[in-house]
Amino acid sequence: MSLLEAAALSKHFGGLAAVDRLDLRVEAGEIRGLIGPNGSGKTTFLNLVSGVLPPSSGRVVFRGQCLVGRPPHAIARMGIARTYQVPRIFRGLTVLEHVLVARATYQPLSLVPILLGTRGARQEEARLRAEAEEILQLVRLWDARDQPGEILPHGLKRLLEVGRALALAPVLVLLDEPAAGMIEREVLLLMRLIQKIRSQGATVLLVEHNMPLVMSVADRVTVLDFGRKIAEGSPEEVQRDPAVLEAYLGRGDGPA
Amino acid sequence: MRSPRLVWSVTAALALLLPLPFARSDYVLFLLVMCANHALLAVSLNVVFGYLGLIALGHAGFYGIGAYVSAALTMWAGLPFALALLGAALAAALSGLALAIPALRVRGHYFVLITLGFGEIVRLILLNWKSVTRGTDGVVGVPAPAFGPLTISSKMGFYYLTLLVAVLAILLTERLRRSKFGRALIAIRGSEMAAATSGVDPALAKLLAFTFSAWIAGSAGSLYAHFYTFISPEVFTIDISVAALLMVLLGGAGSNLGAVVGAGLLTLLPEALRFLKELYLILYGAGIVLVMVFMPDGLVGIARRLGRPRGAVRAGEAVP
Amino acid sequence: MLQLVVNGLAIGAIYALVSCGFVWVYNAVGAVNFAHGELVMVGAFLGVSGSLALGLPPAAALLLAVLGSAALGWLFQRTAYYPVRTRPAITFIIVSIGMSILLRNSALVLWGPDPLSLPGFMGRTMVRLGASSISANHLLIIGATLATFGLQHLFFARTRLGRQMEATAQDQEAARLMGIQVSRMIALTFVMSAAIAALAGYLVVPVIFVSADMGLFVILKAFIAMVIGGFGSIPGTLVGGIFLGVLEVLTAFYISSHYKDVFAFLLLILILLLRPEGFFGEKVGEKA
Repeated sequence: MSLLEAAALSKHFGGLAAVDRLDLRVEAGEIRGLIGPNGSGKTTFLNLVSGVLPPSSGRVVFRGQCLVGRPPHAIARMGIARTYQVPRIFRGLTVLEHVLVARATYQPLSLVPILLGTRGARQEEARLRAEAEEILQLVRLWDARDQPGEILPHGLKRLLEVGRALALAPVLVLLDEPAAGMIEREVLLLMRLIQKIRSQGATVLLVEHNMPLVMSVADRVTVLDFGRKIAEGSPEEVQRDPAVLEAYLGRGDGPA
Repeated sequence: MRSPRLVWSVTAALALLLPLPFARSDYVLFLLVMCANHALLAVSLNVVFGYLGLIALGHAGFYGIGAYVSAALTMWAGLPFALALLGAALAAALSGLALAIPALRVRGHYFVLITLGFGEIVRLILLNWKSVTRGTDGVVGVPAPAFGPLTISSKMGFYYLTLLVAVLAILLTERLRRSKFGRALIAIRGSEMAAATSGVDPALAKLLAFTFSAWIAGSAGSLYAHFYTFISPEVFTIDISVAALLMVLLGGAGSNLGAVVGAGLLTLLPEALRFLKELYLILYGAGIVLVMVFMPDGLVGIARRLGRPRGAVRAGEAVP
Repeated sequence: MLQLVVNGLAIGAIYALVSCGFVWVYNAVGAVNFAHGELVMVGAFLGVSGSLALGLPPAAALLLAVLGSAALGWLFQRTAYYPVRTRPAITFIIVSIGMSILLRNSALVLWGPDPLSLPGFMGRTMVRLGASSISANHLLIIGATLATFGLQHLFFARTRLGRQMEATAQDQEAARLMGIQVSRMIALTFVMSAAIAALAGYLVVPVIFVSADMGLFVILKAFIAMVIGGFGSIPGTLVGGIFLGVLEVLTAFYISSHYKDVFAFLLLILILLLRPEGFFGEKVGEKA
């Protein structure tokens, strides 16, 4: 059984099919690249998996459980974490607090000991902070832990999003163009980070325009065009595929 | 605001000493009690408006429910004040919970109108359910708070009682803010979608915040009823809801200290500007517009900007 | 019974007119204009003053109200919308709350606290219809509302300017790329919204008393009408407004006039719980 399985998945906006009867399987433990020209449905696919958008038809199954109809927070708690193309920073929270948001769990009754300031509540908070600091060290943002998230440079905001995703202790990490706007050094760090995530047992689905990054880090690559899968295979196979070249060259934003 | 603890200590000391020079002026003491009462209301609204970023215009409803329930519990049920205060807060919290369930299903702008509608409905019920609320005549003779043999009847005593409740409320609110729930609220304000995909249930977080906020507003209402001894529907109108919103805005949304300062200013300002008569309310409306256009981060935002060494304005803060 | 229904239809028609202008601005700027109720109030007062103080005939008083409010609408968008147009929607909402206080209290100074009324276009003329006699004013309100909705539909569907405004409301960025002057279209939206608010205000004069604080009542009703019809939908405001008007008159007659607003609000909550998209509307949940 695949870790994640999309079957005949479609999403229509008005008359336009952003994702069109897509069948896609991601196996546990792999790093999967998801590429395609602009508007080919990559981000929409991530939105469907993470529950941000409901599909028009079709199914998404994760570890044997159907995700359709579940709210985003429940999907996150099942172990699917994601980042965004445009970093979604929580204005007013520090870098550490961003990670803490995803690290904590929110049983309503746990508010009572917090308001009473009990020792148990303080201990939980201390444990969460220690765990969050560890994650910040992993994404190299520990030095910036007390800075407001919104003042980070663009590349570091993306790393913060990766850190926030990792705080969920995810089984599957969906990365939406994490390297966009990153400088060379940050891309290298990101590459090592992706490999590390996998070595710790998580699966990665990487949407990316930075072809050298995808080709060097992904085990397999799926190519979308007009919401459909046009190719799938090892990075080498995909790069030689005439359908892929056609899709990119036809619109002039080729895989450099 | 590099050391919030210090700022809070200074504020608390100031609040403790404030009424002493005016021990002989009933008028000033009256205003100080109302400052503290409004501070409670502003701190309550700050949880919804400041933390969650939702404009709520129904807090007059919670305030009114708190006042009437507290009056009923002491006058009809004969409960001691302390229990009435808790009961009033609980009643307000429950109505907040009941309102939150439909209200939070809709987008921000509609949330405003629903809360506004809620406030109006509470006022209409207070006005028309005459057998219980006595309509426009209001409820006369709400008793002074008594703790066993100790009755608080002086304005000075009332000031310290209100201050005590306000300090407790601020303490709890700050605890909420520093906890995972407070972070979740700020995260929802920043991006509800990203908060949700980070495992926060936005509906649940909002529900808790709204209930908590209503609970504090209800205690403010209870204190008001026992201080003023007379309550009528015309106190609990949209005007007090808007005033509370402006208190939070003026001080700086998201900051409890700002809410307290804003409440003080907006309680004293109309007194100081009494000579303007009806022009005051026109200027008040214009003031809201000007504050939003020119100082969207309130007084706390300005203090923060001044408190920072020159040239240290960092990237990202220039963005509105 | 027929009289009651016509009464409800007339009140509902007013709600629909108010709601329509409110929705235009909502669609154009993505935020509710809290001062819309005050624009209705100013329109009503201008019309009443035109009749009483200047002795104008009803049609001229109406013209004064509409033109005066349109000018106010332009001034309003210049001071309340333009300075905050790039800020989050919440900013405009609060600014519009400030403007509503400003307008309400200015009206209080200018026109005083006493409610005013007028006999309206038709005076006290009654029309006999079968066994019941019906106020001609009510029929006029219903007719004028239907005509206005028809005209605005033609304007947005058939004229170049109307289509440009529609395009702006749908996607400002795309409209800009198409060469449409977006800020001019938005200004025009505010002007038209204020003008239709004045029309509603003047028409309502014979039905309810005009007072400086009528704005809150008016905007709540417009909002409920919009929720019933569906957020952002213009045909929805017509259906929602009329539904609400009839419902209100019937509950006031059969149950209690004191609690008719309470019922209207409960209806609002019920709809939000059961059918949040209204009859015609888009989804109201948070967009991705």
